[in-house]
Amino acid sequence: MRREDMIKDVFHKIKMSDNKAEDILKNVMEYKKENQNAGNKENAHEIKPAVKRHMGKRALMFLGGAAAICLVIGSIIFVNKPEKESSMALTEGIYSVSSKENITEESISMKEDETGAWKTDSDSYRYVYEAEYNDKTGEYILYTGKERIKEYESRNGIDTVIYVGKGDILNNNFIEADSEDILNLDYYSNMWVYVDFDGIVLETYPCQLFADRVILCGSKIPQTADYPVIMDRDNITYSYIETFLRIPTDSSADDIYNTYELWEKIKTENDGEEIITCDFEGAHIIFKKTSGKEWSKMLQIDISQGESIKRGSFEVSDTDKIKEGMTYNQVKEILGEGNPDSLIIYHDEEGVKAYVKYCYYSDQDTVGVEIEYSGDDTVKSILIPISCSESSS
Amino acid sequence: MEKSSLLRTDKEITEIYYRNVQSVFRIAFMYLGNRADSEDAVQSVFMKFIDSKPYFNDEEHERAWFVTVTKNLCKNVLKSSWRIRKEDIEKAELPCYTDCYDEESEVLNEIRRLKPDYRITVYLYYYEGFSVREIAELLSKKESTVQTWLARGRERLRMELGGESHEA
Repeated sequence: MRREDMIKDVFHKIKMSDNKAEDILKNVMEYKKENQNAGNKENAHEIKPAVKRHMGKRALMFLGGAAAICLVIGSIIFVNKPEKESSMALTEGIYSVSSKENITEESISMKEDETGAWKTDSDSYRYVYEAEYNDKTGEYILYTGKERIKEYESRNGIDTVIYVGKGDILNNNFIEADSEDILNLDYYSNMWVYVDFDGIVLETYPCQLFADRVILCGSKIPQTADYPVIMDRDNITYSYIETFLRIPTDSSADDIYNTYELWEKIKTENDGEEIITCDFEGAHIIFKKTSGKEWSKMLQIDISQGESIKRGSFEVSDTDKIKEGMTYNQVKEILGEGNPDSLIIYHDEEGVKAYVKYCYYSDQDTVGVEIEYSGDDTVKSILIPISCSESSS
Repeated sequence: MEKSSLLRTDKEITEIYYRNVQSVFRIAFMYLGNRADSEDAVQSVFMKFIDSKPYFNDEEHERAWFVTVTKNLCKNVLKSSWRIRKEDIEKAELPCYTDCYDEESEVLNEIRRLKPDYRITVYLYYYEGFSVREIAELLSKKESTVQTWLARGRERLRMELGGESHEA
């Protein structure tokens, strides 16, 4: 069976039972009836759960939790209402309230829109708001921006969270991750993130969850420097970035080796330019010192052992010249070789297949191409064309 | 007629419900990864439907609305309880749903191991038949992002599952 058919077939089998569908419909119709009678949405809390055993937990958690967060935020705003602009979103800080009783819906600054997306009526998307109930003190705590980071820092890395300015993401076309992505960092192994640590803007960079570390890299981290940032996954904090996890642009490989012992293995190669290779459990990360004192963008090659690596680079426009049926060498002629940051060519152990992976990171766009070769080393398919047009996928 | 004033009969609501309920469930499952939460999500989505009384131009518009609302609702659920789920998902073994056999279980398990973004993209593309452009609109992402997710999802499934590769 074709893999796609197999996948489709499996999707088809994910279905809700007729009985469950009917139960939920009954609940929904009951909700509609009550809603109409009440003339408002307050009865949402009275609806039966889709799954009874969840009434006390997940369903209620979700409905109640969402409402509670709104209410808490509202309360906090109510309590900490700015003097001049009552409708503004929260300013930076940790807020706590002892009760949510006096919270009014009107005071919240962040609401779900009709599709369920969270939005604020302020243009300040800089902070990610989160309310947390402290069952010891009975208080709700709202974390925002830098203070949230500090809070995690004080906990010495209990959680692995990078907070992202959602609005910055929304307003920036080439961002490919949002705050939920980051909040669910453990789910993600490869993403683009845009982190805004309360004014210190870390520009777009790829974030790789690698072994037990999160590795961030970009040409503008933060803003003026040009070096990779490596963070222990359990210690992603503001201070990490600010102090000892940065790699100064004038660091030597030895400096880095001596400073960042978290790397299990590190070695230098001298092939005319300074290259640092980090080996994390069978995969490799290479930092290459390019012109001057700048470190190049990070290259991460996630391959299994036994695969050989060749490096090269090509211009974005050149990929348009790649056509199906071209030989490996023909492609190589077009793409050329050079900057190891861009091109990865690797074969499997039997040499049956080869892929060219290309990721180009710029301030304006993110493009990529993956070229799959068939057994006779001719281009079989171009998975992600530069044009990113659907027809070519 | 304004959206907020659109009133539907019980019959109309029932028709819309049955037209979309399985898709909503599958999308929720793609995000949440388990049946119970997905069923909760289905109910919440249709409650939102009752509340917001959206006006639909046609069935495609209707379908897109349900995809979008389900997506947002599920992401909010994940966001609110991500710490708890982190362990659940890492440890959970996939139950067999209907009459699935080993190969399907394997496929489904691999799909579940994909990142949620990859999962939902693969699902919307292969099963729901949305184009990349449509998926990009539904997920509020760039087309190139969707392309990337789709390709990576396919690649990972290819690596894990093997089998023939006939790109759609």
